[in-house]
Amino acid sequence: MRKLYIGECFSDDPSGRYYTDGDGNGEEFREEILKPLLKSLNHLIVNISRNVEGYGSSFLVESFGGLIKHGYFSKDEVLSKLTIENESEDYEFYKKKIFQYINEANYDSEKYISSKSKALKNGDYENLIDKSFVQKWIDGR
Amino acid sequence: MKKLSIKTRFRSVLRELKNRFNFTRKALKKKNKKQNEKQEKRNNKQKNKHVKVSNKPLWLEANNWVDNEIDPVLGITFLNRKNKRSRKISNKKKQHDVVLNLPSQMNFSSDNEKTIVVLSAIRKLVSVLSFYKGRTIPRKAYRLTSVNFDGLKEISTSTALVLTAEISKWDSTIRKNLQPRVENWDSKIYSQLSQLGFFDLFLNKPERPPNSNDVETNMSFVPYMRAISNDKRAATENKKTLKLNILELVDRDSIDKWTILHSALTEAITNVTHHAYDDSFKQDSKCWYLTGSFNRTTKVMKIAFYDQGLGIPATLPASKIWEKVVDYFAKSDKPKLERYQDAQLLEAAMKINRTSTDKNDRGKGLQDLLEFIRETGCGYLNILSLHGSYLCNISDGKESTKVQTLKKSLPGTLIMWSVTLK
Repeated sequence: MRKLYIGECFSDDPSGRYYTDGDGNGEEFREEILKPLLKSLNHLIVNISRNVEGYGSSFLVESFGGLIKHGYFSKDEVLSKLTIENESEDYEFYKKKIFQYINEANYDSEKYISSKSKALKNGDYENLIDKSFVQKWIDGR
Repeated sequence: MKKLSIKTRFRSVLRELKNRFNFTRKALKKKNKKQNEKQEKRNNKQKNKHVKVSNKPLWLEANNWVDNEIDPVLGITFLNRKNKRSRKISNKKKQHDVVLNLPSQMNFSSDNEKTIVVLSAIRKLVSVLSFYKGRTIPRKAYRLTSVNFDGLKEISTSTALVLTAEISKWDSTIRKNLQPRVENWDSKIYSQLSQLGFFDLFLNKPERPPNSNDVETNMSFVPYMRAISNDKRAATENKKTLKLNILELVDRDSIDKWTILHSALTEAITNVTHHAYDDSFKQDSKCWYLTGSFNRTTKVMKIAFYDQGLGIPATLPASKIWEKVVDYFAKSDKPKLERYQDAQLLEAAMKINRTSTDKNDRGKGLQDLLEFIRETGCGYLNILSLHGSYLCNISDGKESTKVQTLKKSLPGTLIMWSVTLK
């Protein structure tokens, strides 16, 4: 079973909703990490506490709630495939928020329009995070 | 003699008139063209007039605003006005040079009116300088030449941050030409503003006055941080620096629930990036400022975050949560006249997500601002924006909110967290 450490594999300061908010945003995490991994893996453990300073709601709602909002998965699918892990009591707060946003999301209620090209063009997003591990995990390496 | 019919007579009269006054189709066209040209000229004149009129109010408005505020609260000295002799000697241009005198106490609680008026005066006078940058400022316009700190004895953390932000804007406008004169400053103020990093603003740094090292104050500041709104790397660095500086100040290894405060700051920064500044602001002026302080006696830690943007109440109607705000008011029992006041809009923005169940997942960020004090269970969050003040106080786990309309409008948005460390 694969375990994803957000603080080590993605960013120690995950924040912002869209690519236009800079590297380490919720849309990037959902589109380039969570969605492909959940599509191809049977189960994924996400560690939210190690080496992470904290999360803004914009990041959490866009990355986790967005999986359902854009119709990629149903709530039940996400809840059965995803385990949220935290090593510190402070992060229990974020774990609750993640489940709250998953449960509150409306399935397929918004068509996804990527903000990546606009963000790249404006220089707001630089694609600094190495996400090559995603393909390796999908390939079973 | 043949009798003329009416029709024939009319034709012959018309022919005669055409011959006499060159009243042909061509002539008519020419005439119309000339008239159109005249009209166009008149319109252009009117337009130019309008431009002049819209130019004028900026300095006139600032002048009128300053004149209105002088008597009640604003401490201003007009250079070369009191002394007739010096007026004769001086250059005509300097007749409207003004010095702003800071009051003895500056804070957003007990002295909020005086404090906001002084800060607004700096903003308004600097906006005139900024508007006429590289051009001649109208002779009658009030020109900010100095801000006098000599009378200032007490300043709160948040006020120090806003004051620093406004002085920073002024310094940028006049190409880093400001030079602080600190000889007559109160030692405590000098010491606190030094800690805040106030003097790092200036290329021309002042010499430290004697005895200022010996000043013992209960309250210590951490150096303020500034970043352009869409600079994410600076945002991450600044949040980490704030944590390190605060930990050093409070002399602890960790602060309970700091991660929640980190989230609140993250959301405050995201809000600034999305909403605070529109295209009318220059890119390098779309900034936010952050600082903190710790009182060793009371163990109160304060964190202040400020942006110089349009203000939350002004940006709400164009935001994606406006529908939720309208819906909130429709369900509330607030009188219709009060609904769209700044303070009510602030309150609505803070409350909507708790009551709304619609598809829109926006507006959760503002709730994040509250979570830090909710989780610590003791402290307050205060948001000031334009005429609105929203205060959420938590004492012994009991939450109470107070919404207030400020007499004077604070330009931008100021967010303050205050908690007592256990």
